[in-house]
Formats: sequence, structure tokens, C-alpha cells
Amino acid sequence: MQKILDFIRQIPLVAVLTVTGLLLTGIALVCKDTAYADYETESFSRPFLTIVMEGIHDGVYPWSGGGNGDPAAEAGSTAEAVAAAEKAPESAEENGGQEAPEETEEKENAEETKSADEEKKDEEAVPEEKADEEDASEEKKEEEKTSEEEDGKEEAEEGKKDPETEEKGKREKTDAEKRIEEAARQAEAKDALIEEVEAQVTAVEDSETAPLDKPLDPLPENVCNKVVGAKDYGNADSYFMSPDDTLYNTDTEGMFARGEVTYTLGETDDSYFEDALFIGDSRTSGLAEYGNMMDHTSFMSRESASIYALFSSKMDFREPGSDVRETDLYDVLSARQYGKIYLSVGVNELGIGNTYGYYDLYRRALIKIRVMQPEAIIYIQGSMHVSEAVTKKDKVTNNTIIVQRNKAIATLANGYNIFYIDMNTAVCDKNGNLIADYSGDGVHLKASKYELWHESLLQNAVSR
Amino acid sequence: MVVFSSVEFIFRFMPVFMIIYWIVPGAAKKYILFAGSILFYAVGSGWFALLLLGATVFNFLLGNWIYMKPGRRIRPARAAQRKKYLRIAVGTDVFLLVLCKFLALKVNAALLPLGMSFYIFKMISFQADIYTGKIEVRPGFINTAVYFSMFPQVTQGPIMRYGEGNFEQERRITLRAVEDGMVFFVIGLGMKVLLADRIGILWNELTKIGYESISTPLAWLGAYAYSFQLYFDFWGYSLMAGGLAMMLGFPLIRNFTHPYAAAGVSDFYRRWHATLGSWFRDYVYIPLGGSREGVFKTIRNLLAVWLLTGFWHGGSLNFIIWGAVLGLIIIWEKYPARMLLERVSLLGHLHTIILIPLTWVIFAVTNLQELEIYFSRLFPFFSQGVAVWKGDIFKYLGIYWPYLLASVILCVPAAYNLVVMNRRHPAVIALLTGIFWWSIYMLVNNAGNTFMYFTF
Repeated sequence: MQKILDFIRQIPLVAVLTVTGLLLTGIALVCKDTAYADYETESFSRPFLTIVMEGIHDGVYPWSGGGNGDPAAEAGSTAEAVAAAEKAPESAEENGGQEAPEETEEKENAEETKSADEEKKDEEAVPEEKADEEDASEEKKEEEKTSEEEDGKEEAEEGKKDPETEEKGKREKTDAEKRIEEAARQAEAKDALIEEVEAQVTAVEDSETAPLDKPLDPLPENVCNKVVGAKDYGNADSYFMSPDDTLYNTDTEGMFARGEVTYTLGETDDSYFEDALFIGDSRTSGLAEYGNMMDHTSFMSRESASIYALFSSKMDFREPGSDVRETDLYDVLSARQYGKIYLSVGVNELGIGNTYGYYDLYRRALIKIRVMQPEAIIYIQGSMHVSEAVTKKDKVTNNTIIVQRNKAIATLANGYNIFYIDMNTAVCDKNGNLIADYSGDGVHLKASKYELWHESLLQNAVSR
Repeated sequence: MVVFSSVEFIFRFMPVFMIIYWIVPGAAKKYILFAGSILFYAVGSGWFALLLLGATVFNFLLGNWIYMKPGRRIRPARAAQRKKYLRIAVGTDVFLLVLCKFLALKVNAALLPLGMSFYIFKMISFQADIYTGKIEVRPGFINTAVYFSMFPQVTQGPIMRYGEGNFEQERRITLRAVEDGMVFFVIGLGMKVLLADRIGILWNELTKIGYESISTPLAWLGAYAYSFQLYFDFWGYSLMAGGLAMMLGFPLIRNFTHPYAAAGVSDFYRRWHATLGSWFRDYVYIPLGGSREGVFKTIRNLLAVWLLTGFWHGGSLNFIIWGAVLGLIIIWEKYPARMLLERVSLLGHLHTIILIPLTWVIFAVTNLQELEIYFSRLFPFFSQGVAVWKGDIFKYLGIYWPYLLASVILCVPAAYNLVVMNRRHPAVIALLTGIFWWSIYMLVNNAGNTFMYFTF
């Protein structure tokens, strides 16, 4: 024994790393059929212990809901969405992102709240814990749809709670109590909002008509932009596409149905964007930063935003004259009514699900936006294509998939209060490839080219 | 697997190889190391392993023909013969390297075999050291082969000299060396994964924006960010390589000695990638006459060394410019500014801190037109920039300040030394354990991710 100890004392780091490595492997082995049932198992490039790391990233822990010691447990919302999408690529619902890391915090918060305030315990912590447990068990099941209400609620609470409250809780009871009450009030209000939105979304969905068996006739000229095509180099991964004869437009009644009247796209000026909100991914962030629109338009965007986590993840909200702040779409869309909502996503989710799944989520996102913004003109923006170099090399970030998906979401336009616009005419060559000089990485516009997008928006606006 | 900072290397190759290597008896270790290294190299670069083997056999044979026991009297015919063999060996090695670099530049970048710039330099130094008698004992084949191919050094150096490897002794592994090797390996891993790879994203952002549209503060931030990225990438790699070699029973080869604490650019390059700098000094600069033959020839020799250094890094014109600029700065420091720099050492440090990041910009931007644009943003006297967003600096500082701060701290020798000096302290062990698993976490969830395009 003494010999072993002496031996270890000479190689402390090697010993600690070996022991922790074996421990992680043990954990992965023990939980491989429970917590990690959905993860790929041992292979040459994936030793068992890496599963635990992937789990931490996705918010999946060997035990339910407990905290973990890894300081790096940060979770990108899209990555979470992918974890969900990988499990259920076909049936993935809007808000597939699993907010598990936040759940963990929630539970910690809840537990500390307990010690801080015995009386609050039952009202505060228990429902949260229950939600945690439900979510945790959900993650273990395959093909499970995440519960939107719970996600939303947790995220709302997460946003409102001040971590300091918990730290000082023991000493400053009354202060903590007040804050907790305030947080609870806000969380309740958010809950109610989300519940109401959900109910309305469900009502809209319930009122939908049965699927059509053939495509609707195209909308008249100039009502929407044509979907810009792109040369197919034959290398797109068909896993992320749907069969070409898939029918996307399903509605003859309800919000996506065409009315008697249609409007055409035409030229406008910058004052048009004063009551507009642009929602999107890093490309929209670029438009905000470099499109000369920041001083009169609002933007809600985030790197890696996707249709999978549009409502569940926080984004950067920029309004003219105020600082960037982090918030979620429920807050922004319920705070005021916009005249126009521009939506532009699609590139981060190219490697998630197939075109139909994307279309379905897109549709649901539009319903949600409509419920909260009944009067706004909604612009569906076709995703910008990528450069020839990227599309030839990358079978996922590929123009063939982008074009198919743009065609799918374009069918959601009704020409009345939902329009499809496509800025690719402004930035692509005759093969539909993003012009190489316009982009540093083949995927994003260079700063100096965002003005082309801005111009295209000015040329394609509806005045009613 | 061929990258040290990969899950395959850390959890597959390294433990399996090390355990076998440690178990086998001392005399057999070199055979295991040779076999493991060839396997490692073949996994990384396929058939190019045959080229490495061929070059190994060739250089071993030539080396043996050149070899002569030191101190022995030499016949003129034998002297001429040795010189001829040396020329053939070095000529062939240089030709191979230049050919592959040329093909890589003109035809396909994949035609430059992995690590060739490094192992060919080892081969050249091997021949020269045999010729000059620095290698005293005749090198056997297995020792020569291990020296050229040993996996800790085959991909990116350091360019160890044969004489530094203690090849004539039987390898003995001490627990202390294993532990220290692991310490360096973990520190290097953390530098590479937690700093260099993170900061690298900032540089990509600038490319994405387009240099014409970055604000001047962001252009400077970019220059420093790239400098840090390169530093921690390469220092991190060198520490990992050094640590691995220690675990195999080799002495630690230092490649970096806190270059950013250098008092001037020439001092910087004694501390930066030191094995390359000393290689050029010993096998190019000094054979050309060094600084012993007057000012004019010294300047010529310095320029030759630095142009070659530029060419060694890459064939495109920016690398040549980079080398030439460094050569000129070093000449400037050596002659006109010498007195001044000696009197005011602060000036030397400013040289390092300001000039070096600027030279790295030349190194980083391979397209000359783009390079010109970048410099016009660094020094915006003649141009305005296009669609510049003045707030960009705050955005990127806001995101990257923790990495930049950590980088600055690690540039201070005392900070790094504190950790290394106290490497047996429980707190340092805990810190390193955290760094290790945090790095693994980042590796698994970034590089190992099938969906690499998340960061749009």
C-alpha cells in the first residue's frame, strides 16, 4: 500500500488524470443505456468518456438534474436543438432546443432558494423541481418532443432571476424574499403569455384544412420574389432534403390562405423600416452592423440562430437609440406591435432534419409570430446562397439544399400579409452562387456588401 | 490522430503506445518507438511514409559514408570524398524539399508531405554534424531512423539535433520525467485548445467582415489576436511535443523562451521557434561567414538567412516579404539603432511589442492586395475604409477579452514560471487537471462535432 502511495506521489498529475479518466469511462459505461442511450457508443475516435463530455454540452447528465463541476458547461442553443433533432429528425417540433443546462441552474437556484427561505420552498422550488425531473426523464426517452411550455417557463425564470439573490440569500432574507417574489411574478406573467400564445397557435393549427393533393397555382407576378435557383453540382446530401414532389402548401383557409386581394412588391425608402423588426442569424447581425439600418430599424439576431431554437434561445435585441440587450422573442414580440417582421434563417439548420421538417418548423414559427403580431406584414426571406467554392466542397452547406428549402418556405406566402422575398438576385452570379468577392468565407457577406441586401429590401417592399 | 490535441491521440495512441514503450526492456524501446512513429506518420499522411522511410535510408547511408572518427588524420582523397557525399546528401535533401514545396504551391497543397520541412532540416543538420565531427559515435540505423521519424517531432518539430537526443545511451524512463512530461503536455494542450483555437475565431471574423471594413482599433486588435493565436498554437504544440519526448526518456527541447518579453526583434527570434532559428544560424549563417567578415557580408548573410526563413514558411510572396522585413529590422537593430537600443531597453521591448504583431500580419495575409488593405486599416492615413462600423471594436473586445487577457498574462514569464516551478503543488495539479478536462470538453464538442457549421 505504502509503495503504491509513494508511486502515486511521484506522478500526481498522471495519477489524477488516469483516475479521473477511468472514473468518467466508468460513468459512461454505467449510464450508457440510460442517460446516454441516444449517444453513439465506443468507436476509435469516440472513447466512452467523451460521451460524458457531449452529455454535459447537451445538458444530459448521468444523474438527473444535478449540477456538474465542469466550468465549460456552456450550451449553444443550436447545438441543443441538434441534440433534439438528432433524436427526432422527422417529428422535431418548433423549439426543439433542450434547455437542460439552464434547468440545472434552475435546480440549483431552487435548492438554494429553499435554504434561503423555508416558507417559499413549497411554492417556488417544488414546481421547478418537478419540471426538471420531467424534462430529465424526457431526455432519456427516444423521439420525445420537448415540452414547449416547460422550456419557455424555465427560460423565462432563468432570465429574470438574479444569481446574486441566491448568494446573499442567507444573510438578507427580506431582500431575497422581495426579489424572489418579483421574479416569481415575472415568471408567472411570462408563463401566462407563453401559455396563451401556445393556445392560440394550437387553435390556428386546429383550424387548418386537410392537406391538398396538388400544389396551388402560383401567386401573380410581382406579388412575391421568385425563388432564386442555383446550379446543382450533384454533391448535396439528400439526407437533409425531401423528395422533389413533396407538397408544402397545405392551406386554403386560415392565416396562410390567400385572400381576395394580393399586393405587389415595389420600391420604398428607409422610413419603411422604422416600424420593422428583423429576426435572423449571424447574417442578420451583419445586416444590423453593416447595412446602414441600425439607426432606424430593430434587429433580433444571434450567431447560430436557427428555426429550431428561434423562441427558446436568447438573442441580441437592438433598437434604434438603445444598447444591445439579450432577450427572447416572446419578450420582444409581446412588448410592442411592429408594422413589418422580416425573418431570415436557414443556414445553421442545413445539417438538421430534412426540408419538410424545416418547412414545418418555419410554418409554426410564423403562426407564433402572427399570434403575437396580428397586424404586421411578415416577410419570409429566402436564405442567401453560398459561394461556388463552398457549395462544391460542402455537401451540407450546399446551394441545392438551400434552394429546395427556400422553395418550401416560399409556399407559405399568401401575397396578402405574408410575402416571400429573395435577396439572392443582388449577390449571386448567373449560376446562383454567392459571388466570391462578396464574401470572406463563402457564407457571409463582407461588411461592405451588406448594402446590397439593404438595397434589395428597399426594392421589394409592400405598401398596403 | 496525428494531431496531439485530438481525442484519438490522447485517449488511443498515447496511452497504448506509452504503456507498451514503458513495459518493453530498455534495449527494445527504440524499435518500438520507430515502429510506433512510422505507424503514427502513416496514419497521418499515408504513402508519404514511404518517402520518409526512403529519405531515412538514404541519409543513413550517406551519413555513414561521411562519418569519420573524430581526431583521426585524414587523407586528401578521403576529405574530398566526404565533401562530395555531404554535397550529395544535402543537395538531395534540399532538392526534395524545394520540389515538394513547389508542387504544393503550383499544383496541389496536398503534395507537401506532412512535416517534411521539419524532418528534412533534421536530416541536413545530421549530415552537417557528422561532417564536422559533432556526432562522435557512428550512428546506427535504428538510432538514425528514430531521430528522423520520432512521432513527437515528426509533424512540426522541434528540430532537435542528433546530439541532443542521447541516442547512444539506453533509454531509461524515470517517474519524474513522465510526470514532468505530462505537466508540459497538459499546459501545451490548454494553450492550444483553450487559447489559440478560441482566439483564432476572432481572426476568422475579420476575414468574414472583409479587411476594408474593419475599424482601425479592430485592425490592431486583429494583429494582436493573430499574434497570440500563432504563439499559443505553436508554443502549445512545442510544449506537448516536448512533454511527449520527455515521457519517452528524451531531454526537454525548448522551442520557446518567452519571446514577447524580448528586448528587440533579434532577441525575439532567439526565443521564438528557437530550434529553427539556431538551425539557420548554424547551417546557413555561420557557414556563409556569419558576422566575421565585415559589415557588408554580415548584412548579406542576415538577409540570406531571413529570405530563406521566409521561403521555408511558404512559397507565396508574402512570406518572402515577411522574411525580408524581419531581416531589415534585425539589420536596423544591429547597426544604426544599436547604441540607442542598448541605452534605452524600453525601446527594444517596444520594438517587440509593436513591430512583431505587424510582421505577423504580413505572415497571415497571403494575398498581397488584401495585405495592402489591411495595412491601410492599421494606418488609416491614405484611405477611409468601406462600410466601417465604428462600434466593432467593442463588440469583439466584449467577446474576446477573457482570452486576450489570459494571453497577455501568459506572455509574462513570471506567470508561466510560477506554474512550472510549483508543478507538484496540489493547487497546480488541480488547475492542470481542470485545464486538461476542459480542453477535452472543448475538443469533443467542437472539433468532434459533425455539424461544424454551427458558428454562423
